[in-house]
Amino acid sequence: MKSLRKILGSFILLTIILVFIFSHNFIGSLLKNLKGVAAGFWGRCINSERLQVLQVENNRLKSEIALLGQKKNSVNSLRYKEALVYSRYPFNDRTKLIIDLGLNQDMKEGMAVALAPGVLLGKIIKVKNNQSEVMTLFDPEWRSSVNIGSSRIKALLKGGKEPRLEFIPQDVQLSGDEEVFNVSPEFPMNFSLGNLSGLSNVPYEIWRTADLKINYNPEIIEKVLVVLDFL
Amino acid sequence: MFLKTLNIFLGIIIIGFSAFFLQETGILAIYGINPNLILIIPLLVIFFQQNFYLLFFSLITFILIFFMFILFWLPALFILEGLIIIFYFFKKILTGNKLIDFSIGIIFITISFYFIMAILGGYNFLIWPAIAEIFYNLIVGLILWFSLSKILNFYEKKT
Repeated sequence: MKSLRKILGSFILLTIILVFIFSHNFIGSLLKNLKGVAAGFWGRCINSERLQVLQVENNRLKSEIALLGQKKNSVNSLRYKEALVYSRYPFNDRTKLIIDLGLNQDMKEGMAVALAPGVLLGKIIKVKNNQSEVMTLFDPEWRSSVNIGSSRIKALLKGGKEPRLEFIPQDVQLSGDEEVFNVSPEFPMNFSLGNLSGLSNVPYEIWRTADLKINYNPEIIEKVLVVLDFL
Repeated sequence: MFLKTLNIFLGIIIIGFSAFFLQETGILAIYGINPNLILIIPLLVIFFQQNFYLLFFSLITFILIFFMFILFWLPALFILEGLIIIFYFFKKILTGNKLIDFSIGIIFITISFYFIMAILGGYNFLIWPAIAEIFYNLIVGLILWFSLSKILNFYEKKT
């Protein structure tokens, strides 16, 4: 009887392992939803995927409106390929993703990766047959040139858990919530990156710094778009 | 005896999978900082089981999980596991107090891991994420330590 119980116990454990192996994506999304509900209990807004999609869409529309004024709308002329996010780098020193497209799907190193059309997220840095590694702008090694707002003030975007904008000239007028666009030649021109926030105001310094406000949670990204015809 | 050992091994596999998914999904992340469960679980095995084969098995489990899901970052895992094995032999010259040695292990391995990764990757060693992770690892590690102690005491009394 006792050994029967042990056999049963082992069988249940084995079943749990198999469930883990074959439904890890489902378990992952379930855990994320539970985290959103728990956050709601503690007074923070529920950061559901739907909310994230709406925020990104809002960001994209804002960037398109800003660009329409400048008659430089090249964002929608690009072709994209949707990719699913396999996995995230599990340690804290880097912020990278694995997507389900690779050499077999014509992926190349350096290709731009967007969260939505016109919203830059990162670039492909390594490619295998059916997977690619993506460095995001939340990686500490990320550096790119950006323009701030419709007056197109130049700055440097420094990646990290909280991306920063550096080398903003002291003498320019900024309201503090301007859209930030890419001008780095590695990526499509005028792709949106986020909004300016927390602009420093130290009178005797040559340059000002600011935070890049992102309207989505990078921890719950499930799908991305690879820009196909830019490189 | 065989079934008991099998259960311990299966238990390690389940805990390994759970730790990996909790870490990979970022469910426990606070301000973007994840606790390193892939480090904490083998350290708990070191101090609670004191059996090199079980430690080796838990490390192999993580290698297999990485091999199945995130092949790209296998070298990072090898470095982390190498440091855990070094610590297994190194702990004999520490204080002898299990809890203090466990905390030293978390601090030593976390700092060494990010330092080596920065050197090999050719990027700057960022001290603040490492320090934040050490604190988080210590909190999670100590919670697991005391929970595990209670569970083991309960089963010992029962048997």
